[in-house]
Amino acid sequence: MIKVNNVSYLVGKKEIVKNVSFEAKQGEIMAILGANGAGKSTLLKLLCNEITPSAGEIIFYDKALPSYQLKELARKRSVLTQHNTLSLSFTAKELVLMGRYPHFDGQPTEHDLEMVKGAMQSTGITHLSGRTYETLSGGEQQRVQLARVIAQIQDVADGWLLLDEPTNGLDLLHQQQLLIQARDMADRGYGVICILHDINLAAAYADQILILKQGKQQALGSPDEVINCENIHDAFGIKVQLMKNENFRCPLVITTGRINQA
Amino acid sequence: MFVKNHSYILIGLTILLVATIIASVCMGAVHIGVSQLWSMITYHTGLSKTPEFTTQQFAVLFNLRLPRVLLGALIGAALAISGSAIQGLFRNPLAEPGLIGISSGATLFAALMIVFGGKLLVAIGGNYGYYLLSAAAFVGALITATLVYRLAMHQGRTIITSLLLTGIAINALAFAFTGLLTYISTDEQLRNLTFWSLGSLGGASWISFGSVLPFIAIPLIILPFMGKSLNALALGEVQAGHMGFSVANIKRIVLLLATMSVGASVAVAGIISFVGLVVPHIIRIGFGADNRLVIPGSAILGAAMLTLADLASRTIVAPAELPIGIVTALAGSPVFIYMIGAQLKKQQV
Repeated sequence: MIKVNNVSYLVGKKEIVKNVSFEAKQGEIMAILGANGAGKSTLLKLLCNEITPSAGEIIFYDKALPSYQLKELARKRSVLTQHNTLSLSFTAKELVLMGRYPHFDGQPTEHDLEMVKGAMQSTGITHLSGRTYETLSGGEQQRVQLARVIAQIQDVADGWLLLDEPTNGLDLLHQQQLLIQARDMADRGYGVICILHDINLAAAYADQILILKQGKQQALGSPDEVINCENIHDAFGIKVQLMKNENFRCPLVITTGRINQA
Repeated sequence: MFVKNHSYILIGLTILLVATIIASVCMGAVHIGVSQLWSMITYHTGLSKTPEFTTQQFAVLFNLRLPRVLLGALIGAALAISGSAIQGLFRNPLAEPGLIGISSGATLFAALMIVFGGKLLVAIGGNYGYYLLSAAAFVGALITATLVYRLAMHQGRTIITSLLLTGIAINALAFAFTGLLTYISTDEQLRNLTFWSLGSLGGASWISFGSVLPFIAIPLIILPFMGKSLNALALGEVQAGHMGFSVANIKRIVLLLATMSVGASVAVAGIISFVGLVVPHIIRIGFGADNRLVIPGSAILGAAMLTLADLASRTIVAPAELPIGIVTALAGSPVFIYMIGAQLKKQQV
C-alpha cells in the first residue's frame, strides 16, 4: 500500500504539487493523467523518494517513506524514469542484469540470471540480448529499460512498479503489450503506478485514475467515475466526445478540437 | 557466464603482464638471458648451487632494472585504473586524469613542495621526502578533481565542453605557475621541475617504489569493487539512486581513490599522458563496457603497456633515453583523435 496524505511540493514559492491525497493498493493499476507541467512526474518523484514533500507525508507499506534505506527501497519497488541515457555501451542483457544489482553482491546468482531471462522474455527483447544499447531503436531501448525495471522486482511478491510515461516511443502493439503486462503483474499482487498520456489506454487498464491539473488533484476514482467530458475539458483544455463501445468497459474519448479559452 | 568470461580475460591479461615484465627486465644496455634470469632466481632462493650469471648482471638487475620495471608497472596500473574509474564517474569515455587537469594540479602542488618545501624535504630525509611529495601531489590532484567535477557536472550529466575547457584552463594555469616557479628555483630544483613536465621513470629506486606503493595499492585493491556501482551510475545518478546506490558515496570514494593513485604516480614519475585514456578504451573495445571487468582489466593492461613503453623509451635511442611521456603521447594521441571521431559519429546517429 502507498498512502499519500496531503502532500505538497514547492520550488521556491511555486507549488508544483498541491495537497494531493490518495491511496494506491497492491493488485491495482493506478494511472496518473494530466496536461504537460501538471506535476505528474514530480508526484512520481515524491513517490519514489527522489525528492521529499514540502508538506504532508507518504506511507510506503507501513512506514514513512523517508525512513527507508536506499537498498531497502530498491528491493521493494523499481522506477522507470522518463529520460534514460546510457553513457557506456552496455549490451541489452548487461543492462537488464543491472536491475538485479540490489539483490546480489559481487557476482549474480543463478536465480538472478533466471530473473533476467524471464524479464527479457516477457518484454519480448530476448532477440536483442547481445546488441549494444545505442544500436537499438528508441522503442527497443524503452523495452530494455522496462525489462531492467521488471527484473528488479520480479521476485518481490508484493513489490511496486512506478512508471513515468512507459509507453513513450512504443508502437501500438507494444503499448498494448506493456499495459497487458502491467495488468498481469497487478493481478499477481504487484502495485503499479503509471503516468500515461493516452486516456483510452488508462481507462482500459487502470483500476484507479488520478487527474492532476496545475499540481492539484482534479479527479480521483475508477475510470467510470473520472472519465467524463467535464474532467477532460478542465484538465487538458480540449473538446471531447465520449463514445460507447461494447468492447470497452468505459466510453472511448475522442478529441474534437480545442476549447476557446475564456 | 559472466563470471567465467571475466576471470579468463583477467588471467590472459596477467600472463601478458608477466611476459612484458620478464622481457623488460632482460632487455637493456646490459643483456640478461632468460635462462640467466632463471638461474638468478633459483640461486638466490637456494634451489641451485651454481650461479650462471655475473655479479655485474645481478647488480644491474636488482638495483636498477627491477625497481624501474616494477615502478613502471605500478604506475601504469595506477594511471589506467584511475582513468577507467574517472571515466565511469564522469559518465564519459573521454575523461582522463591528464586531460582534465588532475595531473597538472598534482604537478603544481609537487612543484610548490619542491621549491618552497625544499628545506622541509631535506630535513626529514629522502625516504619520507617522497611520502611528503606524494601527499602534496595527492592534495593537488584532489583539489583539481573536485573543482573539475563541480564545474563540469550539471544535474548528473557531464557537459563535455565544460569538462575539456576546465581541463585546458587548469592545465594552462598549472603550467604557468610551474613556469613561474622556475624563476625562483635553484638549479637542482629546476632539473626536478623539468623532469615532471615530461614524465620519466629515470628516478626509479626501491625507495621511490616503496614510497608510492601504499598510495597505489589501496586504490588497486578497492576500486575493482566499485565496478557494479559505476555500472549503475552509467544509467544516470537518479536511476542509480532508485537501484539502491548512494551516489554521493560512490563519488566520494572514486574521486578520493583515483586522485590518490594519480597523485602518487605524478609524484615519482611526472605526467605520463594518455595511459589512463587509451587503456580502458582498449578493454572496452575488446571485451565490452562492464566496469566489473574494465576496472581490474585496465589496471593489468595499463601495467603491461607502461612496462612496454618504458622498455621502448630506454632502448630505442640507447644509450640515451627518451622521456616516457613522449612515447605514450606518440602512441596515444592517434587513438584519442580516433575516439573523438567515434564519439561524434555516435552523437549524430
